[in-house]
Amino acid sequence: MRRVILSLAVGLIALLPALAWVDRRAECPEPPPLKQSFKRWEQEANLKVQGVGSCAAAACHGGPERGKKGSEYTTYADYDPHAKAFRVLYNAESKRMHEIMSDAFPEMRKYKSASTNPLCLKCHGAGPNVDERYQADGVGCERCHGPAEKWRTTHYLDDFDRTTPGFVDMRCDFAARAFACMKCHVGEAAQEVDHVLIAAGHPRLRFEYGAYYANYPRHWAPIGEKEIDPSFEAFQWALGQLITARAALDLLVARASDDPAREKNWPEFAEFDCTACHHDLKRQSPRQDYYVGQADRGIIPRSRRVGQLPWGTWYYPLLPVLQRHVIGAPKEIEANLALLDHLMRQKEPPREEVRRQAAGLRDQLDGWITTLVQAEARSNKAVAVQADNAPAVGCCAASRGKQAVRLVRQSPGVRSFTDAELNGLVRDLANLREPVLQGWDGASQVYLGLAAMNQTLGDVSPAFASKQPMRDPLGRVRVGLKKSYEPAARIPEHTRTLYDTPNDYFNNLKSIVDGLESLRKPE
Amino acid sequence: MTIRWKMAAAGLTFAVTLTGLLGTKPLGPLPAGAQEKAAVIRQKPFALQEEGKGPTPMYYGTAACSNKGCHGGEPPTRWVQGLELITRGNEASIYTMHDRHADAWVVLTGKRGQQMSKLLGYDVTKAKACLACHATVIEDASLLQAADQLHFSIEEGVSCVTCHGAYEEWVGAHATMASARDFRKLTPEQKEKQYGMANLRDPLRQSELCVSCHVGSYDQGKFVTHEMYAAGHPPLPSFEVGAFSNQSSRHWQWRSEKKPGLQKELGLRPGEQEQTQLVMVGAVVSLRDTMRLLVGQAATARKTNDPDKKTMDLSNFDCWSCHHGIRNPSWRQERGYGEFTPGRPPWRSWPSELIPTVLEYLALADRQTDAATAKAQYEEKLRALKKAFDVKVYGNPAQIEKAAKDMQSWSEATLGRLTATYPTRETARELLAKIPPRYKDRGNDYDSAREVAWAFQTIYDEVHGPRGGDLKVRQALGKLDKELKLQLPQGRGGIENELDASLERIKKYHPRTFRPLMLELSKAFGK
Repeated sequence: MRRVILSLAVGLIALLPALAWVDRRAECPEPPPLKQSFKRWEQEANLKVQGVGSCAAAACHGGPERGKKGSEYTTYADYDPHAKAFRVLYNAESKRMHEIMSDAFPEMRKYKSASTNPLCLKCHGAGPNVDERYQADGVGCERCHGPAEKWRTTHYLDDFDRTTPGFVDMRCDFAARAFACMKCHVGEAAQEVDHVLIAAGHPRLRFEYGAYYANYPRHWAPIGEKEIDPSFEAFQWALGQLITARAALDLLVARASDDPAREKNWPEFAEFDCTACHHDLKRQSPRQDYYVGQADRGIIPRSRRVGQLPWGTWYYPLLPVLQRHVIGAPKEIEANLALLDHLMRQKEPPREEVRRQAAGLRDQLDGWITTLVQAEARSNKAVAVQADNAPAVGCCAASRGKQAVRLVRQSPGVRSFTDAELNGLVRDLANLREPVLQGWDGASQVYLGLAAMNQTLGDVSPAFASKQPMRDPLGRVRVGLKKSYEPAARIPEHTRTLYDTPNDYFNNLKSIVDGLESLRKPE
Repeated sequence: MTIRWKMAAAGLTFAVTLTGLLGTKPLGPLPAGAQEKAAVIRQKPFALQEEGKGPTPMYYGTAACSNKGCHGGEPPTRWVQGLELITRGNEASIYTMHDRHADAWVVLTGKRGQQMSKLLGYDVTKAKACLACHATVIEDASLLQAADQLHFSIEEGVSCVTCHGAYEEWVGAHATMASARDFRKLTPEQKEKQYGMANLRDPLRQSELCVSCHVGSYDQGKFVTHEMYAAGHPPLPSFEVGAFSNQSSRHWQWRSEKKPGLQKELGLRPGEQEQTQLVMVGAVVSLRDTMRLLVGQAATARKTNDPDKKTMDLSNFDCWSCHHGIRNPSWRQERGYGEFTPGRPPWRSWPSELIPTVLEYLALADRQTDAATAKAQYEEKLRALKKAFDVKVYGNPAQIEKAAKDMQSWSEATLGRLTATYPTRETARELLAKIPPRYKDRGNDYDSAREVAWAFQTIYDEVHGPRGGDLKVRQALGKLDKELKLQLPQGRGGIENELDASLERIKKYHPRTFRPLMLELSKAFGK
């Protein structure tokens, strides 16, 4: 009898929210100030991580179908590289890296392996301050969604408050969503891949948010981003460019600090184009040809000199183009970037000036990102729609079989990027010659930008999608970039393919430039 | 008529004087006026330079030396009073036909030179920074004018007087028969100090001279900066004086190649292995003068406000630590970085590579030396230097200055000990046996591996003759040559045609091919 009463009570309690019938999950709050978006994780640093095990129940996120609602954990575990983040700490490369680092830094000798070295766990585990038993989760749910101590038991309720401490609103807060990646993939003051770590064997970081997002094995059900804003791909790319640059600048501010530990590594080589130094020397040097080209235009030796380290070739080459086409751009971005570039090219860049300049630029970008994100968010609204294809799984009676949440455009048909803007971006990206001639980094960014535009143009126009006018030229660029890594460029007996340097880039420059040339031509 | 003009005429009249005295066949007609001037010289016997008076700078063109009767290929067959000629008389011919030093300036005018001018923003055919090594820098206007009259031209590159001494006294004294006999009796030190004739028979002086360009000299403005490299200057290879001398198109002979009488006159000591001595002395001079370069830059870095000079120039760092394609697996990671910080450019350390061998030699040569203590002392200094480069990116100039000064004075002292003794064939043999085992399990970089192989080869050649010795050793040396390109470019012309091949070796170099070869050498000795 008591059991019956108990189950009735539980059922009633579970039904309570349903009876209230106010689905607050459907409301995307106004995006929080950017600083708050970026600080979600830090503010809640004292909150306890619950571990992926707490999400993985079959009735919660452990369902059986890839990419479907209720199968988030399963999808992640089966397809998401993040799930393997911890496991790689056991491979031969990690083992050697740990040995090399222990040789150089006595304080690391007390850890037996990479899998217990806090330096590695910062990004490959659950985080440096998290309980040891959760480290093997790798980059688990809470590294992006926030530590769940305060929201584990409430986040499925209809009246869940999306501003609950520790909860990172990955759906509504575009800035927070993008920033989740930056913490490891670009790095921040407390966790970064610097040149020391790279020399020990860690691959360099080269994160491009738009491309990573597009190729990510999603564990969330479609949220209809492109149905609301057909040019969402372009928005996502632009946002990624800005947030990545912003994160890189924030890291630069930290790297340029007066902290003695930082001073030793200054200038931090990870800030510069790897291949500017790391290439086999040749009699006929394409890099020298590049500088000769500059000299012919009077650039050398006044502002840039040979033998200097080219700075920021990955994170910043497209900012001038974005400045011309993306809403909310401060006017001085390009000029300020040039100033910072000038400082960073000095043999020993003056730390204080760099700090000031980089922080100023970062703050300008913050303003820009705020405008961009708010413009996108304001024109969207999340509403509850009937989930037609989503299976009714979920841990809770409250959400069972009820609703899924979709974002919808408030004024249907309005896009964040117009045709004119998209075509302008294509033209200006294809016109960017300097970063392409400078090296693989710039050309790859140009390519990825154009690929995002190609995708967007196809998304907004069925005619474009069927004609695919950019396919062949983009293909030429892509082939050129890929061939930079062709085995012909390697020495067979000394090389495997874990990672490599694009040694052959300049031999393939022609196909890249040709591709861009034909994109430039008006149709 | 000024004394300078007289001396200028002296150069021109040597042939005339000789033909007059010896009756060999006359040369072609001299330029107008030269006959008269020569006559004036001939009438005045050459007075030996006063004690304590230094030589007078004066630049002669190679034309002053390349007369057929002098160094131009047809020297007199006999000399006065039964004396033998010290030289063979074909020096200028060999130099002109084969020596790439003659092209030192011309290469600046080529495509690479033009590119460098463009990228550096100054004309490399005129800039002092380039001419310091590729030709000669003459600051004084009147001297320049006089040089011009003597057919001296920077276009002749590294020419006779660049190495042998650009001073009028010795040129005159050795070129006129009247004074040559007296001049020859002087000691090499007198000839150098009072007459300006560089004492190139002295391994120390020779090494210093070669090293001043091939390594660099901050004081003399001979310094290949990273900016120059980036603009296109080919990488300076590591430098082993013995091998570079032996492989150069020698217009001179080793003393051991000369007749016994001359050997003694030129100071070859009984059983002396002069090339081995040159290898030993050259190694320490390379180290010492590298230290001088470091001290000079570090001192500048301390004083300057120029942000580009506040740190050590990148040319002081190991080129190949950065300039390699990123590969995985990487032999540098396999080797590890020891106590040094990964990813921090290390000092370009080849000048220190032969020092342990030098210390082993010293222990063999002067038996007083306590080899273990000497080695420990040296290693401590080397570690301090490497640490100074490792404490931060680009090193700490103040610490580098201190460590380099310390190493410099240590090198001075070691040079003192080296020159006080000399290697015999027995010592050289013993020394050879000690070299390969040191390297059979060490992860050398390309530059320092080359140093070791060059030194070994040079000493081995001297002990066993150029093609003599054990077949197995020769085979191993052949393989080392294939791996490291021990054979230097021969003949005139720039290195342009060989650069691709050289850089390809560096790209493909792997310590795991060097180590077994040293083991092979080591085993060949064991038998």
